[in-house]
Amino acid sequence: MMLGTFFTDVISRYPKNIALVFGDQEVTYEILYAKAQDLIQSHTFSASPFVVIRGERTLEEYIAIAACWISSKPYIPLNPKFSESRCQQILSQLQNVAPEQLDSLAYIIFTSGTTGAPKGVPIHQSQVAQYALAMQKNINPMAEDVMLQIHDFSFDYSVMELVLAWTNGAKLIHVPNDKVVMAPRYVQDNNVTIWMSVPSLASMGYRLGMMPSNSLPTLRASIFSGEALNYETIRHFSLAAPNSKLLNLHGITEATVTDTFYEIDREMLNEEIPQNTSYQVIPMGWPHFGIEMELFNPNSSESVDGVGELCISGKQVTDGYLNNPDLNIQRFFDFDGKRWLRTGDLAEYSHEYGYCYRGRADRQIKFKGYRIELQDIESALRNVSKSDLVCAVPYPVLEDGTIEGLVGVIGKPPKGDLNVDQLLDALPNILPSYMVPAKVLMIDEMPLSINGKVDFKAVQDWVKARLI
Amino acid sequence: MNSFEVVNNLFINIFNDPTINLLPNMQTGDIPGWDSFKNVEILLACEKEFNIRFRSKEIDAMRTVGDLAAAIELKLANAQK
Repeated sequence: MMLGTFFTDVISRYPKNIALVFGDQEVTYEILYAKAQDLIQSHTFSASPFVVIRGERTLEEYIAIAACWISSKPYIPLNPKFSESRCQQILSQLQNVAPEQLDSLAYIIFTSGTTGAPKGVPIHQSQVAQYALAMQKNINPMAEDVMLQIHDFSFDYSVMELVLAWTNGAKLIHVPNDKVVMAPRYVQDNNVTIWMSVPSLASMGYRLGMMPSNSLPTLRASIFSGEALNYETIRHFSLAAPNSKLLNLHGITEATVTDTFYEIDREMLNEEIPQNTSYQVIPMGWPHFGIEMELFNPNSSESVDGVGELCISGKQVTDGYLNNPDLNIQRFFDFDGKRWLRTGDLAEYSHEYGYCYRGRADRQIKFKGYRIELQDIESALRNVSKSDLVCAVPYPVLEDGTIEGLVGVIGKPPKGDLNVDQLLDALPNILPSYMVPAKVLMIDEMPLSINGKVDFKAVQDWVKARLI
Repeated sequence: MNSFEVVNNLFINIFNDPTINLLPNMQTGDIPGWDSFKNVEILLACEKEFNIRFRSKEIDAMRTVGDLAAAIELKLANAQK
């Protein structure tokens, strides 16, 4: 099934439903369709094999995405936060795309590569349709549902928001870029029923005092994805949204937004600290409909028991990076007659909880002879500081790569302060001595990537500048 | 003190800078450290100070300090009716 067919079917079933609330404007599905058709008929739209979205999240951009869905034309989202040179790098990569490569694509999202060059991830219309079906099975969105659209179009979380609403006849409320932190207020004023966000948005809302107990009673399902979900964050959220199912999903752009599903057991959130270690970082659960997962050695195509690199196969996985054969060789391999994508995430399988996150394969370091996951230190920093925005940084690092120490960095809470000495005293109780950072630093504003995740590289640079 | 002056005092407290002298057309970014996160602090501080609650549509429409002060005035005037 193609996404366009899915969408036009919804438009014909729910023409009078509101598809989008944009400020004072309420756009019904039939008006959205009519405006999209006007755009499709225009010369500029029909003349180009793809549509570049500047990423301002204007009403016109929503209409352009709808037009792309209907006409099976790919859109390429940029972001006003991208530097001019990054935009140019992306646009120049598009110059070398053959028309057949664009055939039936839904979008190409560019993610950051380790070399800094943006890497294009082409996703087909059929893959988005497959994703929509999987989410219908998991979440069961309905035409009566109300959801927020808060994520940038260059972040594929926006695809989740658009797909969940627009393939089910539901209402999407646009939240302006500079008001995203106020998302809980938009939930309250619009009777929002489904929450979708990265965990850090929920923890910010809590820390700012916007999410006291029972403040979000209209929510019936809350979806977290995009980064590790820690116990503290979901516990606070569960109290604010007492009627909501709580769901944690693993996701990667290369496999069309999200690929697992885990429903959190509210009974497990009763205490201030997790009674079960499996809930310190919330499990990712099981692959959803149409996805297969296995754990492999990060350096080979050998299947492993215990902790391994999470690899994905199935219809949602991209055919490969745009014009990047070297990266395709690194990130894809064949095993057992199937093609597998390396996610770069480490995981462990449990019969009770499904796949459990164990950090990033590329954030594993060797220190004093021990193999250490920086995420394990971050998980401890989160627990003792009650702050979600934390980062563990290897420092100093010698020229030959030898790591001589560890530094913990914690985002300063908006109100009050944290006692660093107390934190350092608490860490040896939960971490082996070789993993306890020698120093813990407070940072006024934790550097975040465009997608709102901690920017490890920028934090590392900050630590270097601070401690030199 | 009118609402604008009260808002100015709230900014002084939030940014811990007694030299702040707001102009009606000032907006996010015009003071060092004034980001979307600070905007929430500012809005919540105004709500507490004036004992009002902004609706998300009103928040949507705010761009400048002048918009914020006008929205406060309107809320206070409506409350008196």
